[in-house]
Amino acid sequence: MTREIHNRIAMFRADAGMTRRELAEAVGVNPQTIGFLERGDYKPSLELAMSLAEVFGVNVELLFAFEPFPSLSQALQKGRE
Amino acid sequence: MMAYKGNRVSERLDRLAIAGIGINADNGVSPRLSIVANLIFLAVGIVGLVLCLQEQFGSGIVFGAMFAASTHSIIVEHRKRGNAPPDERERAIFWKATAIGAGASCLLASGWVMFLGNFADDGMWKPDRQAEWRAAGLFMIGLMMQIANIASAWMTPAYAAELLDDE
Repeated sequence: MTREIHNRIAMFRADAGMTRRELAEAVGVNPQTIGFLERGDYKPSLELAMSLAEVFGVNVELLFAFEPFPSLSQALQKGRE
Repeated sequence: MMAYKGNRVSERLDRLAIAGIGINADNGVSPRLSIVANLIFLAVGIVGLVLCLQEQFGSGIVFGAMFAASTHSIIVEHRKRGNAPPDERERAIFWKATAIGAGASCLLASGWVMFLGNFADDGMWKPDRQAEWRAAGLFMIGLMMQIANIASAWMTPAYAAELLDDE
C-alpha cells in the first residue's frame, strides 16, 4: 500500500526563518533530504517526521497528512467565514 | 554549464550534454550522469571479458571497469555530502541499491550456470584459464557495483537547482 503523504515543511521552515541547511542540521539529515521532503519526493521515517515536528514545536499531524493541505488563501477565507 | 555564452555551437553542445547526462552534471552529482557512466563501465567490462576470452589483455580492462565503478561511486557520494555520514534516506537507497546489484548479479550468474548445463555439450563458454577465471570474478564484482550504482542513481530524485543552494 503506497499512499501519498503531503507536508508543509517548506511553509513552517519559511515561517521559522530557517534555511534548508539549518533545518537539516537541526534534525541530523543532509540538506538535499530536506529539499526532497519539501518537494514530496521522499517519505520520512516516523523518527524524522517527529524530529521535524519537534523543531517547529507542533504536532506531527500539523506537518504531515494524507490529504492535501488547504492553501494559505483558502485557510484565510475559511477563517473569515 | 553554459560557460561559452554567445557561441552558438558551444551552447548547443552544452544543451545536448545537459539533455544526455542531466543538469548539475558538472559538479558530479547528476543521477543521469551516474547511470550513463556506469553503463559505459559495464560495456567496458564486457569488452574486457571478450578480449580475455580471445587470449588478449582483457582482465586488466575488466579490473579497470570495476575500479572505475567503485571510484565513481566514492566520488559521487563525497560530492553529495562531503564527509558527513549518510542520513536515513541515503542509507535506505544504499542498501536497496546494493540488494538490487547483488540480486541481479546472482540471478545472471545462476542463469548462466543453468544455461551452461543445458548447452555444455555445445561448448558454451566457461572460464578455463587462470586469466579467464580472474576476469570472470572481477566482472561479477564490477557488475554488482555497476548495477548498484545505476539503481542508486535511479532511486535518487533529480537534484533541482534550488536544492543545491546553501540559501
